[in-house]
Amino acid sequence: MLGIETIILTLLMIGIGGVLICTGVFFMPVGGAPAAMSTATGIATGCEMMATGAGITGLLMSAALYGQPSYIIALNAGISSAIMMCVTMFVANLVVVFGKGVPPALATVDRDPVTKEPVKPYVTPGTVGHGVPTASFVSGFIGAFLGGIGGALTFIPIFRVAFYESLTPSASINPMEILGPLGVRVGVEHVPLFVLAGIGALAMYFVNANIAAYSIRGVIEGWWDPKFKRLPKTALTCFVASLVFGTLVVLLLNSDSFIQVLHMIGGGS
Amino acid sequence: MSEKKVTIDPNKLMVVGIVCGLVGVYLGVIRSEVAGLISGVLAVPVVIWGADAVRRIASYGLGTGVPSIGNLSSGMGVLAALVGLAYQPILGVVLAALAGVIYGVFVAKFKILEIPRLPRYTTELAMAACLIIMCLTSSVIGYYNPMPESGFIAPAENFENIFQALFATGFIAAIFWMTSVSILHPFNAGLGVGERQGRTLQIGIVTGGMALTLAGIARVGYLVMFSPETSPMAFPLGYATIAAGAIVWIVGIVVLVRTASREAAAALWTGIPPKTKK
Repeated sequence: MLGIETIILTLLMIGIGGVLICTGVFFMPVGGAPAAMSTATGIATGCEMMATGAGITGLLMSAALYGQPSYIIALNAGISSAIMMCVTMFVANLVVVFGKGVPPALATVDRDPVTKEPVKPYVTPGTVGHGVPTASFVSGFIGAFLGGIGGALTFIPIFRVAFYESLTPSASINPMEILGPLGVRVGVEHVPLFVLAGIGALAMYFVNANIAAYSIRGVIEGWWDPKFKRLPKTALTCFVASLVFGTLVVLLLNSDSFIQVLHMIGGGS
Repeated sequence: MSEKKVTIDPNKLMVVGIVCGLVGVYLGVIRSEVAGLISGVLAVPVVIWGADAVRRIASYGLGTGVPSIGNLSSGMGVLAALVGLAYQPILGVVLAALAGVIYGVFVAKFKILEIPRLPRYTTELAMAACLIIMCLTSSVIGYYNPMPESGFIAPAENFENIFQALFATGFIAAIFWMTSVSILHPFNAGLGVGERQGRTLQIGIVTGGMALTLAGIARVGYLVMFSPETSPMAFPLGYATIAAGAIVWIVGIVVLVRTASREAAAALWTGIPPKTKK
């Protein structure tokens, strides 16, 4: 059995991770299919795929930096996701501006919330904006940053708890070890734990990104969009859903057959 | 709002799916490699049930596309399936149902997605994905032995095999995505004005065959990479899984093409486009 503090910390990290993933999706300029035709503001893909892209980048970074203290992993995962999203938005803008000859524009506000430039006059009649304007770019940066941190917060507890379970009796895991740096050598026999944590975090990512995607229903521009007001309710739902699926993860980490296998792979080192 | 008339009752599909899935997972009690092949084949009816559940929920229009539903269901299913494989498969299915109900109730209560009977759909999706992943997993590891010598928790040797076959090789990602695609693709390909349940479920047979083929490939890959101590029948049964998957796949495509050309306004052979000179 895991200690009660470890269980609470794991659930809390997964729950906060879920809320951050949901908030991140709300910040991203999601254009969906209309954006592919430059008839809506944002990147030309659905919420879920964009959130997954940002999340997987964050997970890759968390897996690469597994040995660092948690806050470094989380920050780096957020930065890597944000870089990925910025490159995506920049290239999308290049295509829209120089390929299609359409100026980036917002439809829901008269002036750009960041640069205060008038943006409404550039909207073609019959459409709801084009490309990724400055404010949407900043919003997308924040969203991907939060999403990456959320992904890392889901990855860290699953990996760390499973890793320490393979070394020590599970009751003696100190919760601070989950947050601090990893002082033990990780061998090739521990690779399956990365896969386990990655798949678990990916599953949590899908569960949370979908709730946010259903709440947004297709298109959102950024934090000034009227749909952004739905965030508190959606975040609460994501927290509950994360706790439910986090409980499943804790059940898996607590099962005897799983712990026996972990001892088998950890016993060699 | 009354639902469209369907040829196959969803409740019947659900019962068939649950029974086939549970039989597939629990078949490992015979402790023979044949069980792996059969449990892989029994995943196909579960795929068809999952495709029908996606068909019912996605016909309301979600605003995010059909693939999100498939990814959601496999995301819910994989966690429940791992718990189920660690304790007892039936517990995994019950937990998947419970998590699906809570998810659906909260999403409906906060009016995030206003679809009638949402909790039922999310429950069905989670259970279907959980059963598919458990069946395909037992097909990949040879056979899953759910009978403990003492107590309730399944023997650790299962999980050791799962760890080697799915996590050390990384095949879990393939199984995860294949489950997602096999559930979501039938309605994603079939949706439109003239969509009909029978035809959509025939695409489910095709994707089920694809999932079975993939499980067979993963089985052979696992045997080649780790060469665990198994009976001499392991390799032939691995190839038999691939063959069974290919048969289901081809039969599904033949049936689907026949149905589609019968129900189409006209199916004409236009010939190969002539080469044009510049």
